[in-house]
Amino acid sequence: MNLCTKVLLTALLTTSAGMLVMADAPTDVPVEPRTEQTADKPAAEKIQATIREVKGIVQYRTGDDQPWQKVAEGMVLDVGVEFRTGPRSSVTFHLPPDQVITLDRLGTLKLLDAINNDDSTIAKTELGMRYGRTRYQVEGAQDVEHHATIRSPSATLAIRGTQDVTLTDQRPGRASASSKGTRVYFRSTGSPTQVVFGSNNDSSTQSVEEGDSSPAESTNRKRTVDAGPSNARSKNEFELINNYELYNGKQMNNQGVMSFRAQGPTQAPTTQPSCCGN
Amino acid sequence: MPRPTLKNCLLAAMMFSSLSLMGCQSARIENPLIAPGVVNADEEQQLAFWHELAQRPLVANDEAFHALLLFVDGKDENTDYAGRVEALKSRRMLPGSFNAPADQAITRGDLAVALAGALDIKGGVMMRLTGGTSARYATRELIYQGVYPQGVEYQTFTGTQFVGIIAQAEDYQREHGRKETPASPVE
Repeated sequence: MNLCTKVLLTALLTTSAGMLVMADAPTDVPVEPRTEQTADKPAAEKIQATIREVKGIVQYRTGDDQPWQKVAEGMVLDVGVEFRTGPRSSVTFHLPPDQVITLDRLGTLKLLDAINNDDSTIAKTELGMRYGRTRYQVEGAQDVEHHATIRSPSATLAIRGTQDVTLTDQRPGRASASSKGTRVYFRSTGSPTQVVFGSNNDSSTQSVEEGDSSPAESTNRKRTVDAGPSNARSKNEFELINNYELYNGKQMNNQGVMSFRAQGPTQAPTTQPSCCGN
Repeated sequence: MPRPTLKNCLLAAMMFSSLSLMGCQSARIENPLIAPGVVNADEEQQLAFWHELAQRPLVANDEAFHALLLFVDGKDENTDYAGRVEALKSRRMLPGSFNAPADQAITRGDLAVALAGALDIKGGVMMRLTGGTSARYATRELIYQGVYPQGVEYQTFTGTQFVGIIAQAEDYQREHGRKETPASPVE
């Protein structure tokens, strides 16, 4: 092998080795200088509740082992505060920037968590209600994204919207949620699936009760009056009663479910079973 | 089959009578919330009473009538059970023949009669014919009005259910003319 060949071979090997080393080397790309958006963010800010209105008999406590004290308008309380109200009583408090929460008569409510991000564009709130009725409202039209959850023993209501929501959980009644202009996610013990209803662009009010799968089902059930002994009814009978009117009349042959034969069982029927209100 | 002896018949009759008497007794509440002579005049004491009542497994007649007077009048100046019963009878919220003991669990029927009177619910034909004092028809009427859940007049309430019934009664009053409050359901 002559000198020229050795030089070329050496150069080739060197170049190949260098390429392999460069391929394995970590990319040491210089980091762009940090801008303000990528700088270290301050921790999300826990906010305080300001009592706006008190009606009747209302008490609060700051911990499970703390005594109950009377609530007064203008008080500023931290996260973890728990309220309770008497008959014909309510308490309304404000969470910045624009959340207003009201606990109605004969209920208990605990402010489990309330956090705003550093520029107050996202507000996360979590409430725990042992029993009673709680209303969650958003004031004004500020550019804030709200993530609120109200938990009770029988239901959980998650709110993603900007208007007006109420959760009621008071035995022996059914837990229920109503929403105006807000999309909500309602899960109750009587229903295996989550019910999503309401719309951020719809100003009408919709409500769902525990065990129902939609606002329409709740409405249909509420407007049905069963004058008979409800304790003896099966689930199918309840559905039949709730939907009785939908089959255009009160005659059995218009049910769409069954009809009576015009002749005896040994002869073929002369009329076809009616269906669907025909 | 051997003929039953007199001894066996008497023993069976005694057992049957004992079981019948035990089964017919209504539940009794030990350690009621209200001590004789106590008047919850302070609002804070009243609120404590309501929420302690919500934790109870059963509600005694005395506790229920005290709560009812607090709900209707905002106060209860009677210092004993006899005074509360007399106060409710004078308002026709209890039938004149009512004589259940103070520590006996309140029945849905008895409470229905009292609530129907407090809410001024006249009811239908049968309820009016019985003067509003029939536990059966008062219960059925409150079920129809949505104040009561489905059930019968001889059932009882837990503390949580009782407080819920009072809350439902307040909602009924709001719907029928009382002042709207901030946290009522969205309309």
